[in-house]
Amino acid sequence: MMKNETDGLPTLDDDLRLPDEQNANLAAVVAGSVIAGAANTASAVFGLFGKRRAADGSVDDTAAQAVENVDVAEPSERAQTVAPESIERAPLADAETDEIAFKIVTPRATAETDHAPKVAPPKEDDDIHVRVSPRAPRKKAPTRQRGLAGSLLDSVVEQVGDYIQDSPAVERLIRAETARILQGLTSDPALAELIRAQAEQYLDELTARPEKLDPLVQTVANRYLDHLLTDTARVDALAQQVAGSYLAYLRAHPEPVRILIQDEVGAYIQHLETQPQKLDALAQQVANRYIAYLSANPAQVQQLIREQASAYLDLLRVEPEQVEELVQTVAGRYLAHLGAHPEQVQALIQQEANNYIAYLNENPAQAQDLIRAQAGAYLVYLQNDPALVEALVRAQAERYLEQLQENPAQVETLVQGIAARYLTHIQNNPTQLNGLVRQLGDEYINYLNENPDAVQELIRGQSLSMAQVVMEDVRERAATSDTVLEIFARRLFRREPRNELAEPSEQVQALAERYATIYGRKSKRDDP
Amino acid sequence: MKPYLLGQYAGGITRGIAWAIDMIIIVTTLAVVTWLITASFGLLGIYLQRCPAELDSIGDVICLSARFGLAAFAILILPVYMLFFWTASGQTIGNAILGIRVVRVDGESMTLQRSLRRLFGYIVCFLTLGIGFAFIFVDNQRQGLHDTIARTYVIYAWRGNQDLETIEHVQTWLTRKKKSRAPASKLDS
Repeated sequence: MMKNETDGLPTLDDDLRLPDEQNANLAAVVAGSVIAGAANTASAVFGLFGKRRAADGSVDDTAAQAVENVDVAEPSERAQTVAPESIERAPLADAETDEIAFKIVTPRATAETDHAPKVAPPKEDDDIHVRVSPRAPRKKAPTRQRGLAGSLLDSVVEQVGDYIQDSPAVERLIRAETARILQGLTSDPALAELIRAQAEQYLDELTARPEKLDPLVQTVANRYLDHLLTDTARVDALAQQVAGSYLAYLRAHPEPVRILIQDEVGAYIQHLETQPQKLDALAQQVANRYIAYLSANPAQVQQLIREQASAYLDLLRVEPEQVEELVQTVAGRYLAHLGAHPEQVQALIQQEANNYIAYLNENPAQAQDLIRAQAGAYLVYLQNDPALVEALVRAQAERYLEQLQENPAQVETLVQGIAARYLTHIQNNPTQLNGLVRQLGDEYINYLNENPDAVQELIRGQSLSMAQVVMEDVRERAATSDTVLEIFARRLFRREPRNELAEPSEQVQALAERYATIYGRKSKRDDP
Repeated sequence: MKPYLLGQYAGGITRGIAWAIDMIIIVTTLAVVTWLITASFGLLGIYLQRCPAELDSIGDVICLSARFGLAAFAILILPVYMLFFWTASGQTIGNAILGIRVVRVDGESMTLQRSLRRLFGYIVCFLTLGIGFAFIFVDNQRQGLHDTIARTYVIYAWRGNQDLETIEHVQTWLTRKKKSRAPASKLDS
C-alpha cells in the first residue's frame, strides 16, 4: 500500500495497487513476449526440419505465426474458457482504421516448460493484454524444389530434428539462450520505454472510455475483496494501518474534526428533538443496558466509584474553594428536589433510619458508645442554649403526640408496656408502693385543703363535662333521627330516598363555623 | 351521606325537640308567673279567678286589669320569646340545647324584620294545621313554610357527627322490606 504524499491520506487506488503484482505483471509481459518469441523460433526450427514441414511447407509469416502461437498455444485452464470470447470481441487491428486491438496472452505454464525464466507462476489475474501492430512486415516464403536430394536432405533433417527435439542438451541450450535474452530485455531501456508508452496510451484510453474501466475496476475490486475476505490477518493489518493514518490525520487537523462532530451532533440532536419518543426509547435502552451491566458487575462498579471518588477527592483537596461552591450547588439542587418530592425525603429518612437501627441492634456496644458520645456533646451544647432545648423538646413532644394520635394502638402498647413495667416493679417493691401512695395521698389532701376553690371548680367542671357529654349524645341521636325520619317521611310521601342533602352555601357554612368557634366546645367525637 | 353536622341543615326531629323544650320553658314560665300573680293578688284579697263582670270598685278594676295582663302575657310570651332569641342570637334556648341556629339564606345573622317574617310564617303554618312544618321532612334544604317565607335556614351549629351506621341499617331494612313485598304484589296482581 502506498500513501498519497499530497494530503497524507491513503486512497483506495493506493490500496488496490499492489507493487509486487505490478512487477509480476510487467515481468510476465516481458517473459510472455520472450517465451512466445522463443517458442516461435523453436517451432520454426522444428517445423523447418520436421515431417509435417515436408508436406506443406507453408510458413507464411513469421511474425503473424508467432502471434498466433502466442495466442492459442497451450493456454491456461482459465484462458481456455475466457480466451476465445475475448479474442472474438477483440480481433486483430484493422489496417485501415489503425485501431489498436487487445489480445489475451497467457504465458506458458512453468510446470510444463522448465526453461521459462524465473517469473512468478501465472495466476488467474495474470492475463496480459498485448497490443500487436498489424503493420509488421510480411515476407514471402521462398519456394523449394523437391527431388531426390531434397528427399534425402529431408530425411537427414528429420533425423536431426528428432534428435534436436528429444535432446536435453538442445533444450538446455534454448533455455540458456532464453534466459540471456530475457536478461538483456530486462535491462533494455528501449523496451522499458515502449512498455511505459504503451501503459500511458492504455491509461489515456481508459480515461477516455471509463465504461471499459468500470468493469475492470469492479472485477479487480471484487477479486481484491475476495482475497481480503480469505486473508483476515492482512485485512486487520490493513485496517489498523488505515485507522492509524486516519487518526494521525485527525490529530493533526483537530478543527475540521471538531466542526464535523459539531455538525453531526447538531443534526442528531435536531433529529432527536423532532422525535422525542425515539430519544426516550434510546435513553431508556441505554439506561437499561447500563443498569443491567452495573447490576451484573457490582465489583467493577465499586472499583469505579472508588477510583472516581479518590480522584475527585484529590482534586478537591487541591482546590477547597471549588469544594465549597460545589457543595452549595449540589445542596441547593438537592434541597429543591427534596422540597418538590417530600415523599422521597420521608422514604429516604425511613430507610436510613431503619438501616441505622438495624446496625445498632446488631452492635449494641457501639450503639451505647455512640449514644454516650453524642449525648455528652449534645448536653454541653444544650447547656449553653436553654431556649433551643425548650424548642427542641416542644417540637419533639408535638411530633410524638401527633404520631401517637395517628397510631392509638401504638399508644396502647406503649402504655401497657410502661404500666406492666411499673406494676412489676411495684410488685417487687411493695414497701415503695405504700410509701408512695401515702406520700401522694397526703400531698393531695393538703393541696385540696389549701385550695377549696380548685376542688369546687373540679366538681363543677366534672358536672359540666358530664352534662356536655349527655347533651352531645342527645344532639347526635336527634340528628340521626332527623335523617331516619326523613327516610320514612319521603317513603310515606312516595318520594325517592335521597342520599345527600343540598350543600349549604359557603356563607352559611362560614357563619356556622364562626358560631361554633365562638360558642361551641370542640366535641370529643369531632370529625378530623 | 356526610357524617359531620356543622353547617348542615337541621332536621325535623331536632327542631321539634328544640320546639318542645321552648314550649316547656314558655309554659313553665307562664304557669309560674300566673301562679305568682294570682297568689300575690290573692294575698291582697283580689281573686283573679272570680273577677266581677261589673266594675264597682277599684279592686274590681285591678282584678280585671290583672286578668287582661295575664291573658296578654300568655298570648305574647311565645312571640316575644321567639323574636327576642331569634334576633339576639339566632337560637332559642331549645335551639341552643340541641345545637341548632337560625340563619338567613345569605349567611348573615338574623334581624328583627326577619324574625317578624318568620313569626308570621309560624302563624301561617299553624293556620294550615301544621302542614307548613311538614315541608321540613321533604324539602332539600329542610325548610318549612315559615323558613321559606322568612328566607331562613336552620342549621346545626355544633361540631358533631350523625350515626351513619344506624342510618344505613334503616335503609337496608327498608330495602329488604321493599324487596320482600315485591313478589307478593306480583302474585296479587
